Amino acid sequence: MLSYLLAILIIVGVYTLLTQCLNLHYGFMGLINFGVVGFFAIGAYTSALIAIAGYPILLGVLGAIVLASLSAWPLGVLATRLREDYLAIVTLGFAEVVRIVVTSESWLTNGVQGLPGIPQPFSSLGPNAQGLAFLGIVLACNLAVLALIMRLAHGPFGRLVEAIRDDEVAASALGKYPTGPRIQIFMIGAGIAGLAGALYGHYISYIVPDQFVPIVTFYVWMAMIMGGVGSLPGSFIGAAILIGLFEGTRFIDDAFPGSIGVEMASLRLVFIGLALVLFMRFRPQGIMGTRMQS
Amino acid sequence: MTLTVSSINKSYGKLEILKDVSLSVPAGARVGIIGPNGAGKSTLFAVIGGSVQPDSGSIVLEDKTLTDMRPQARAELGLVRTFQVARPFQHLTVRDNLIVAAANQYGQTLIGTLVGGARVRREQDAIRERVEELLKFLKLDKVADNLAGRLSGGQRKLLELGRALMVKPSLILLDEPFAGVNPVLFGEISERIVELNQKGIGFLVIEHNIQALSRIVSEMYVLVQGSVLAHGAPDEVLAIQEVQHAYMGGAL
Repeated sequence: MLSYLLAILIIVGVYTLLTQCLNLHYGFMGLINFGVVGFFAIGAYTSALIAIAGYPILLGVLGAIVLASLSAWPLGVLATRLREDYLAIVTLGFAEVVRIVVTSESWLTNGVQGLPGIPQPFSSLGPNAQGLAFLGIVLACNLAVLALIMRLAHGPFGRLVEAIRDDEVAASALGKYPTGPRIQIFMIGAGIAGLAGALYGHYISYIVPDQFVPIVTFYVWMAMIMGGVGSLPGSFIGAAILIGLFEGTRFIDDAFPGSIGVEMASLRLVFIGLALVLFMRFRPQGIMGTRMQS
Repeated sequence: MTLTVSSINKSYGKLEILKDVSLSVPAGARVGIIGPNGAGKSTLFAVIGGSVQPDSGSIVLEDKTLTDMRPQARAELGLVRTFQVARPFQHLTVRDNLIVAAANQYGQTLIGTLVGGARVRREQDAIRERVEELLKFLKLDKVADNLAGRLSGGQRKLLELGRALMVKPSLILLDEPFAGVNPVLFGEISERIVELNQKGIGFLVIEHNIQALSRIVSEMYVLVQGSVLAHGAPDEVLAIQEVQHAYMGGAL
């Protein structure tokens, strides 16, 4: 039971990181990123490949953050030239390109068979102690990211971002350039998603391209919406509700013995859809969000 | 700094908005532009401010040609515009609207905000000091903590003027500073403009209200259907029959 609980908390932690990435992009800067999973995948594969090649795990994680950030740079440059709804399409396409590349470049990524045996940290400890230590790392990463985002949001830089979001034309007339902050925020967020990918890979120790399908991005969007757009504690709460719904539906099987697994899988999606509809109806601002002022 | 606008032409398709418009604002002068709706005044401001590119002509500030520069570069050289419909940053307080506008903030760079430490603190303290003075000067100190989106029309105009001042400009383009302003604030805004001008800041002002405008400018251009119809001291210009006819249907 403890190991199950640890597993769930670690996955919640990984999704919290992804939700923080999206909250930085969308909640803070207004960038519609429909390609979260692309940066997640880049992070997972980069760190896994570096670690499998025999380098330290820490180097892999740093590589994941750097490569995910760098991959966001050309998209960020595009983002400054496109209207925001186009960025949504560009990022959606980008994530699919990433998935197709890791599927087809078998020489590097082992294609559809995926990468087994990704080194895990603390492997000398017992299973529960290892899980606990890993959870500690995930928590520390989340707190570090939280501190980073708070720093960006509450200060002169955050004020500039707010001004740019409110009225780009007025900001430009005062001598402010909107492109710089946009690209920087996009790259930093992508780095956070890359970090989440690296942690995920090292935790489950086996990654395949099928884990990086577009629906993952939309799970992250759901987590952000349920937790509250722009709310940092909301990132955790949203991710917890999402994983709670996923895992909670596992136990329905026991309550209704006649049902079979396949039906359960569909029922899960029904529950998640229902939860989202109920949120939209009764609490559109999310758990931690403040109601939008008109 | 002297602003020289020479032979500006601008068309949208077959529609000629500006036809060979030239004007000049000597350093530290107060110059007005009047003209009926659709005369091209706001387009002219957009061209001078840099958000619209002219088809031909040039804009020179002192010895620098601005014609191909972006609005940001023009602001850095000391040319700042306001807007006909005031555009406050709605989700920032009045105070933060002014703080954010200060030029060249190290704290607004990514590096500065992350590791700027004491340097950013000192910089922000200095900016806050200027902002408090400016809030008093514009009589916005009582609403400093309100969200800018909640201000009245006149207060928005004052806030825009304040934001422009934070950039430390040498020339401010004011687009209808009296539009939608209640009569009490009318005098307030005029006084502030004159006081600022005495400190050496030049003004180029578009205004519909001829009475209010003639009180604050020493020189006036009349723009009609995209061309400069007349130019001179306010009372001279307003005495020209053509101007009366074009602008007021002869009712002046």
